[in-house]
Amino acid sequence: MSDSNEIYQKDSIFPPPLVGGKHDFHSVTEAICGVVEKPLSINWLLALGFSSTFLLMLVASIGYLFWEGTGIWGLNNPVGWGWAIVNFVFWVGIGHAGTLISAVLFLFRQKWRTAINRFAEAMTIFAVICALVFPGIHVGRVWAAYWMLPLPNQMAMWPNFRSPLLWDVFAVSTYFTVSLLFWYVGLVPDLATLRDRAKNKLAFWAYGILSLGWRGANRHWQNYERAYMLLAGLATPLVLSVHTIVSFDFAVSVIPGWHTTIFPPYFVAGAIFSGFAMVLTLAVPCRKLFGLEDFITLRHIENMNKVILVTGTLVGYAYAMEFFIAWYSGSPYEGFAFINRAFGPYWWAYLTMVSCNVISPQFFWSKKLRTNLTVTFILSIFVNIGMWFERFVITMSLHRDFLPSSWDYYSPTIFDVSLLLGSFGLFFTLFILFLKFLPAVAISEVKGVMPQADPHWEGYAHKEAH
Amino acid sequence: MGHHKSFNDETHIPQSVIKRAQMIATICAVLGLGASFGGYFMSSDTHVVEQAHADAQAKTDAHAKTDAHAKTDAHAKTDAHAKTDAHAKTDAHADKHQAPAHEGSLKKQFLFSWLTAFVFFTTLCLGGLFFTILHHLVRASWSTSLRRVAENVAMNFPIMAVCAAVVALLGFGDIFHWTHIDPASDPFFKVKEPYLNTGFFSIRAVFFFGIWILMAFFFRSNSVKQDETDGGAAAEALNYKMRKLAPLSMLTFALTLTFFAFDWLMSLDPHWFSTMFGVYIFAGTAVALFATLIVITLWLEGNGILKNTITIGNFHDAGKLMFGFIVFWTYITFSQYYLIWYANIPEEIGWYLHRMQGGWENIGLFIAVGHFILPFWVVMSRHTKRNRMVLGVAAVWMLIMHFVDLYFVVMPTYHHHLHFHWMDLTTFIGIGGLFLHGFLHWSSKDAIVAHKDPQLIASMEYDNV
Repeated sequence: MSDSNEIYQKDSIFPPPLVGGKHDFHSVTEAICGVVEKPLSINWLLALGFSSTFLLMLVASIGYLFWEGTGIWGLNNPVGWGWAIVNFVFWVGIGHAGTLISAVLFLFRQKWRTAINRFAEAMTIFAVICALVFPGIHVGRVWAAYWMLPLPNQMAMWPNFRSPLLWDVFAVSTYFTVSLLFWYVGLVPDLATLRDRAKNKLAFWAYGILSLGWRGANRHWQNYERAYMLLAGLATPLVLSVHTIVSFDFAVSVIPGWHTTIFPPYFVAGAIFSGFAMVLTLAVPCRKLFGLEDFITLRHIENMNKVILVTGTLVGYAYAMEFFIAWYSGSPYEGFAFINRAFGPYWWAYLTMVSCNVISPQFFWSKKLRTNLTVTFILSIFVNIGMWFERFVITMSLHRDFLPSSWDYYSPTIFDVSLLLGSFGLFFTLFILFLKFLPAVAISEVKGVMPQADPHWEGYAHKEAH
Repeated sequence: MGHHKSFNDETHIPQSVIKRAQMIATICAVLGLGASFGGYFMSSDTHVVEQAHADAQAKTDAHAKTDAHAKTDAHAKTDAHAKTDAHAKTDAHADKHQAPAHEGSLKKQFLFSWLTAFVFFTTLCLGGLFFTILHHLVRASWSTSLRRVAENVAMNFPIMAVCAAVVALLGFGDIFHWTHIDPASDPFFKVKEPYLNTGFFSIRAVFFFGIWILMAFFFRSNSVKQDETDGGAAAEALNYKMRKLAPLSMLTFALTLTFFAFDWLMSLDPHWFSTMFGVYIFAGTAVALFATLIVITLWLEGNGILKNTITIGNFHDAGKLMFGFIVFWTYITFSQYYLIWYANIPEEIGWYLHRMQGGWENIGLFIAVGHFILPFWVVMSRHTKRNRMVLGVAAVWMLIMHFVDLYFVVMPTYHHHLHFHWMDLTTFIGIGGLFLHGFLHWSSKDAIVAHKDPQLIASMEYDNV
């Protein structure tokens, strides 16, 4: 770590190397596979126990919800959409960073993505699973949840094709499918590495089946590269489309504060913003705990902080446009919605949102702060909080509608809280299992961006052969 | 690393090439501006402008009455159509009032055609500025060979400022309807009157062009200074200097472009609003930028300049980015239209209803096909992006479509029925000639490539194998 740090501090017109320390191909494999192959540690078991406790809370809360109905939530008129939609949008948003890192940065030839794409993609998949829980459980008659899909049936009952909620079903399920495929295709060569190194029969068979007979042949690599490129091309529009459709849930309505044309790109920027924050929240401790500092270097951390600064600023731009146009429109309803947001009963939520999303990323203007791990970790959590509150603030536009006699204050119940905390339990349980059983960094891709991978590299000629 | 490429091209455009292009630019400017201004000053309805100003008070009163009346109707019905009707009624009244001077008036036609052409070329300059700032902001190296071209394009802001002044001096009030709305009679306008008034508008316009000129000069002058260095530490220091100011410049760029779009395009219909409008104009700007870069570098290459510096990989990359922004433009344009169409509320729908009738719907469909569907399928393929001929045609096509897109924003406020006019062409050719002249001036003054930038070699080594 100190080694890569030293290289990092020497500023040059060209960026510092992507892999710190003195690694060759073999030591990369050793370092990353080592995490998986080491026996279970007590710390890992404690972490799993802690997060699965919350997972249990989720399961219990869902059980009670099915038994009792959605009346256990704080929903009522006029706020008919409460934490469930907030949590859904929050989790879908988290997923976006994974897709951006793995697909968009790949198309932009950003080689630094190789160190973080694997677990960012894993994060995407787990986040989308958490997101899918909420629309799944809030349908009331949960045994009829599959009616969300347009399945031919004798009653000729169809979902409303003009409803963005149905488009959500398509958008999110497509997103989940493509993300899963993309993640899995990228995993295949590394799964084969784990298979080849397996010490026991069970691991050998499990990794063997999952690696689909990969032998690292030239033809395998050719097909792999082509598939990877195509999946990257398919995943890129999904980065935009999923959160655009999610924003349509609100924006196609005629509710002031919801109906505004900037919602689609604003939601996408916000999603990437929150997703990168979550990647950092996970990466900063993980690189330390699993000794991955040579792969996830300060350069990676700094780049991600820059993305947070950019997307945070984009989100700030959208807030500013909403406010300006709400005034410029001259529409009293638009104007009221925004004044009420900032100074009404939910002023505290608005203040939290603005300070976490617009003010806190501004610290990253300083190179010193954005290369400081503690500051990065704390600010990434602030951003996560801020982005949850952004969705809360938007949803709470409902609490003062067109009819003042129906105005009301929404408060969550204990079950709203337990479902949110429980969804974090689900997320972290899946993530902790992933860290132990799959390679957290893409081994073959990291090797590809090392100087040794360049056909013109002359290092071995000068040094002793390894 | 094994075999490095090295820079071995002429750094300057030969004078003969410049001379030839300058001749074409002069002919365009003289013919285009001559015909346009000729049309404007020779037009028989000489009294329009004078009367427009002299009768301003009387007209405002008349407008106020009609406006108030029509508005009440529209509100009573609370129907989108009613509102458009109301607009139409107001305008019809204005037509009658101005008698021969309104529809079919050469002077007013000149102003609207001029505005469209002026905004088009301003967005090209904005594109050049955007590319330059972005290059430094993200510390790109692949784009080093194209950097100077973008810097030179951005240097045309002073010419655009003069073109803006022409609008202001010859008929500001004829273009911007809000200059003669009486705030007392229009509650919707009354709110925004502190923002939309001639004084503040002018201050903003001066500020926009001032800050753009400053930024363009800052980046280009430091870039040119680099040419004098030996490509070592001094050249790097200049890169750091430009990188340091890139973030602030990008923020300034984003906000000024947004409010420029609000002022000069969105306020043409003072009652309409869309939070996305700035992003929409930016998206078109970005498409036009990459198209411009492709056209200019192809022209350079065709004349044997930078033949060894600009690689087919560079064209491929510029083509990819153009493709990406075509899709981004579609995403933004569709989202804006779709949300307004779906909600269908009277506050917003008027702008689109206006453009869905009177023949304008054909232009809308043409844009959907020509700005998205057609280029999407043509530019998607790797082969077309690596074929100079096809990529060049696609780039020119996108520039035309960008113009049509802006035409669709501006012109329906004047012609309620689709109506082309020869002035649309002459103003475009005239301002285009000036634009070309400006570009050639800066391109012949210094090297056409940042040949001492330490990143240039990296830029030349890129290819998408």
